[in-house]
Amino acid sequence: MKIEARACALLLLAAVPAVQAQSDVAAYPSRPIRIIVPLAAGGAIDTIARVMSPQLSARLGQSVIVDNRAGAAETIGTELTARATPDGHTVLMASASFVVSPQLFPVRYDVLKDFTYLTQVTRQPYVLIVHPSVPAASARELIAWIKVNPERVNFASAGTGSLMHLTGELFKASTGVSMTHVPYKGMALAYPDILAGRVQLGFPAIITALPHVRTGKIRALGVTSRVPVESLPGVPTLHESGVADFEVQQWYGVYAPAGVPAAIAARLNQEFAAVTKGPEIVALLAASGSEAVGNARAEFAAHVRSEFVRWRKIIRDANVSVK
Amino acid sequence: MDFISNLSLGFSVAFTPINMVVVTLGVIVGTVIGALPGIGPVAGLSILIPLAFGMNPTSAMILMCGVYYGCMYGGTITSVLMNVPGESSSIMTCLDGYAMARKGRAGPALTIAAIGSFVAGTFSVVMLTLLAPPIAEAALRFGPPEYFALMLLGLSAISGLTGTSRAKGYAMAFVGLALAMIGLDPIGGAPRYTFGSLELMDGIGFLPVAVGMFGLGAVLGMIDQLLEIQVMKTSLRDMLITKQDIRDSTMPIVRGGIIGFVVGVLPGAGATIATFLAYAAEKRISRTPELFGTGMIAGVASPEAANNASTGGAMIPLLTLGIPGSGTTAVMLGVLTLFSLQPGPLLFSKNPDFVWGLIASMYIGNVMLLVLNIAFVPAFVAVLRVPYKVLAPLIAIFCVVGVYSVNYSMFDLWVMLGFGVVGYLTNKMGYPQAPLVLALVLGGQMEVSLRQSLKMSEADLSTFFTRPISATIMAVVIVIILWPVLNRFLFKPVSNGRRT
Repeated sequence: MKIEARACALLLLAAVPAVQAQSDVAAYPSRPIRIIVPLAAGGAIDTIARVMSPQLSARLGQSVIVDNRAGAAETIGTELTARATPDGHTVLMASASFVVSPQLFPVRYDVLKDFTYLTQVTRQPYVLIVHPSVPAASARELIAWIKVNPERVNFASAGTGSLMHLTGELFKASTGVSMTHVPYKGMALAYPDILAGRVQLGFPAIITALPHVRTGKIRALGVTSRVPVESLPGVPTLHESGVADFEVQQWYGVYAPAGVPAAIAARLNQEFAAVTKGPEIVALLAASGSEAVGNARAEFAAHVRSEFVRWRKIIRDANVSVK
Repeated sequence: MDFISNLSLGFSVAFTPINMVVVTLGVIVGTVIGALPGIGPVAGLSILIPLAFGMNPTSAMILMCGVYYGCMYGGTITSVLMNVPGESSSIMTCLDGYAMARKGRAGPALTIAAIGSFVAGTFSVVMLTLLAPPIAEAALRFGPPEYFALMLLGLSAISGLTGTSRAKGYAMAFVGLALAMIGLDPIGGAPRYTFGSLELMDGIGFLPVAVGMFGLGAVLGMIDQLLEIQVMKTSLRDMLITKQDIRDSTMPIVRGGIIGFVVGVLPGAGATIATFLAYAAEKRISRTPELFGTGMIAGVASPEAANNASTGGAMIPLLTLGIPGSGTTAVMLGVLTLFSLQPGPLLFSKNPDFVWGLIASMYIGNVMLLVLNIAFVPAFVAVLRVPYKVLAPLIAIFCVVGVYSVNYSMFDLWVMLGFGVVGYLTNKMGYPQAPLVLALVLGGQMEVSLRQSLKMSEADLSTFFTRPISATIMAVVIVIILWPVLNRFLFKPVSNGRRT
């Protein structure tokens, strides 16, 4: 009896949103909107979201709040989003881990089915850096050197399953070299060991490497994008310097749960894209070495799907596992 | 006299009206954030990012730094009054600070904490002013083996020294390390003891455990003594700090300040390790080590000095090398980046008004915090005049709200409630809580350092004993662990009543 009553109540509750859906679209947004950031406060995504939120508030006429739900390689905040009411009042801003983490960790959602893709915020290449004691002036020389000294080479990453880790694995798979992966809790903690030469190389974000490259404490051998990067003049792409077709870019995107009414999704796309392409965010992103995107929903959806398939193949081919 | 001209340039920047407003705002916000268990310095700084983004870079960094060291002062208040550590760096303050409050001496505890924080904080800013570049280079000599050794030192020192029995201390530390194993393996990424639970994938958080063990445990302890407890009588004499208090605290503040600064400089260590090394050092040196934990003022002065001194130390690798040693300094690095300021040796020559303005503001901020904290001591102490039947539920509510507001997680609340019971029981049975909580805080980092070391050395354990710095620290660890045995065999026989 009790269970039946509960089931009835649940059914009723479930029916309410459907009835209300029409009026919700017209009244949207009817209460504060939260941006779930699946990482701890203070990181790159968190900063972008926080700088965006006052501008989004002004455009949407409701306050926009950043809600940090860190943990488990971004999957906790992502799952929370998947389960949120799809009324456009909950959105997620996540990194490329959105498509990578579910392939490495057990998750209870489907990135291809449980989300509405809103827009891509940014893309950002990594840079291959080495300690100056490594006798290599180019990626080609580095590969030759590692092949002779595989036991001496460690590469740093921001954590197991992070995009920097997978970039290293992709580099190993593409070039046939072997090296030892040393994960850190975030790339910041890896720098002391890289600067001291205890770890020989890594694939950090350009912005974090730049001060050390400029002072000559580390050497930049190649960027992971297909075109050279302005802030690193004279540094070729890895594709040009001996690792054919090598390309990795970190990217951040905005998502809502699946089932958001099309009109609301369009509105969110419009506002997020406009703020992304606004002068403040463009300047902020440029300062951190990345490029503002703010594309259309269909284009972003295609990007998410192709990245999902691509990393699935790399993870399988490189045999990356979390066991 | 470069130093004088630099500093006068700095003060001319720091004394502008906008920067004075900003530093005041920063230290007040920092004190509040430090006192609230739910919100730490990292979250506090992030909330301020949009505000900082609209300022000039110097004001923005002055604001953030004010919050950072303001937190270190604020954490003391709840630790002393309610046994609730606001941050992991105020756990050690709970031990003697709360004991002092129970004896009606919350006033001196808070006052000495403010004075110690001020002296040590200023000392670390002076060191930052004078010695930043060479110290930063030296800090780079610390790699994973050194960090592992340092954390092992801290943990073995605190386990062997807190409480009444070494065995109980070590037992609690091992339980803490075991709890730290829960969650995703930090190197391999495999889930451990998670039983398929998403909440457990991230491990057991330190805050629910610390607030449960200390804060809620203390509330449950009050229920036990319901009949005997009366309103705490605080006469004016008890509230004022005595000459004896100052004498007892002077050297602990000096030692805590030095330890805090040195450990703070190391990018992988930080304030928490500094506080318990400082506490352990005081207890080791003390002529009455058995009184630690019962309200020794040295046990408050030393860790409070250490956590403040570590903030100045942590600014060194940030400003000179662009290496953030903690979550807080990582946010600051992000803010510097927003303003296209590249940290590093060039920052000092290219943006002297920024660097020296920031440093000067830290002197000003520390003076403000000293004044603020001492002025408010009577108000804080008045909290303890509230009858226990009112205060105890208030503390319980404070614990619940604080823990819930971190992740909005019911799971965290259950953990806190569970550990509240554990805290109550361990307290009754004479098991010290600090080793468990600290082992939980450090366990993850210790494991990462250990496994990174072994990866780099190709699984050769001798790496800990062949590198000079880690070998020295390891030798100290071994001496501490074997001390009871060494004491017996090498030195004069232990007399009967004396604990080792």
